[in-house]
Amino acid sequence: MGDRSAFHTWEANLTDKIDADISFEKKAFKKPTKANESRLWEDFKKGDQTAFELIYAENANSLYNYGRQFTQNTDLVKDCIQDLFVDLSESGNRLGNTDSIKFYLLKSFRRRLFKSLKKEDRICRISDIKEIQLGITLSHEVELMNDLLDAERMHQLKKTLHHLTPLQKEAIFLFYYEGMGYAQIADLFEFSRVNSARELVQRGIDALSRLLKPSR
Amino acid sequence: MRKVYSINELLLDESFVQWVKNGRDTSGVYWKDYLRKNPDQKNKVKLASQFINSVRADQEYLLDQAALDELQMGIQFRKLHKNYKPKERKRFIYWKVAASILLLLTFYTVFNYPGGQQRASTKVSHTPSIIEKQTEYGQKLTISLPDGTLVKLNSGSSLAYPAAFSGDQREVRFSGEGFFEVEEDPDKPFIIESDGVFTKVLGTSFNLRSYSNEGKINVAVVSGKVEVHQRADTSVLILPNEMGVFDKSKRQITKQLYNTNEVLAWREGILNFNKMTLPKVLDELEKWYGVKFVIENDVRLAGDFSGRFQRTNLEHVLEGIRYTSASKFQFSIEDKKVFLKTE
Repeated sequence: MGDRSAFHTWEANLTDKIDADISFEKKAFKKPTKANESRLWEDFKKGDQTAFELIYAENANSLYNYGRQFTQNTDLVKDCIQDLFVDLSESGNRLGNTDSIKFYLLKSFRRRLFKSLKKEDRICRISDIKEIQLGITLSHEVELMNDLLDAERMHQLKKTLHHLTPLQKEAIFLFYYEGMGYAQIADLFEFSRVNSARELVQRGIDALSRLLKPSR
Repeated sequence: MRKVYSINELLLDESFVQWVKNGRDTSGVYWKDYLRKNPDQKNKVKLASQFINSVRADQEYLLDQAALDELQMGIQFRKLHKNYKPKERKRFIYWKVAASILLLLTFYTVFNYPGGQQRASTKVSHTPSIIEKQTEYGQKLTISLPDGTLVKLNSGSSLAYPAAFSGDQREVRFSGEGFFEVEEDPDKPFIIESDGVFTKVLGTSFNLRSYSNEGKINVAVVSGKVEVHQRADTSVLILPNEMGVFDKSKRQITKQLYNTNEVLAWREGILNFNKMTLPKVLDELEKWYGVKFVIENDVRLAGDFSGRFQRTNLEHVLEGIRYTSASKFQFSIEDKKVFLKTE
């Protein structure tokens, strides 16, 4: 049947789509391997200007996007990014090592951001902030491209996503959109057990699971 | 290992998620092999991959190149001048600016409530309390209504809805552009009023474009059925892939097919122009980026423009327009104003 060739086309499309998803800003970049990342970070610690510029170009916007999910205050987010890079640059060799620069930056950034938010908005706990809810949703491009998830089911999925707890939403965003692992998410949220991060994502996915069945 | 993964298990498997996201990874061999050995699992894998690739933030925020550069310069500057304390200086300016804005806002809201729309009929429902959400130019917002309906608002739009849908109908008031995913309820039709035109749905998803400064109101249906009527008499039924167009001057509704890529692209953050005249293009850019164009008298905006931009900043879009269209101009961007001059 045409089934087999359709499958191969899909697999090729999947890889093509993944390649195409690398936005035009990143086109000049090779996907960093763990060895590359460590080396880049080492150079950065030594004060290498090119390494700094590379790391900044690669990460500034995703930090900005992430930070803006929690507040409309663009200046506060920009300040946090600036403070982050200044402090990291000044720490030099006192910094730890990492093979995932994105994660290292995100973790430090998140701590800074929430500290700033507490100060600026004069609130006691993160859960007090009603409007800073990271909204997650599903891209419609996929809906148009494929019929495994019909429009009605997309709608139900999005609705369920909308009603998850803020922490579940953030965990799902980090796990699927940023591609972070459970250990990293647990570290970011300062959980004592890695499994707590997995449970968080699991609760969100369980809520969606009855909707995720192929229609054929 | 003869293990077969359920969709849940796939979605929760770190190595599977990384494989889908990264394409080629050390775990790629395992999953390719899994697919080869279990061809009947293809659909599950496809569905899980589809889901993984679809998750994203409701609203994506990006800094344009100018802002990125400015931020970077700030970092360099502070690295060089370790004694400089910009935080305190900046804070000082913040307070002054914040105080004056607060004052302005108070005057603005006092004199311009409600909703800031200059339409004739501002009949607000008198039963449950009405919630009104608005987006500025350059802003998008997704709202969840009390019945589960999801509405994504494009820039410069507003939606007014009750805190609870009582009665035998669900009524909302709308202006601008929005994508509606209406919760199915056959006993309670969902009715959107916009500029005197009523759109009635039972359970469906569609794009409604009804800006007060445009001559037409468009309803593009993705799924389900939508009924559009103006007065009690003529009503038109619109089916999936069809678009109903209400002409405000002719006061009639016609139907046509529509190009999904053009009409729905905005939801993905894609700016799409298809042989659009330059004045209209600038209009769209004003809405999208939240800027205002200031055009010198002798600038000719001739011809039309076709192009598609995703996650592109305003400079690049304008460069694109400059090179490919018949119009000749130079531009400079200052804060939220774009100045067009002759070359």
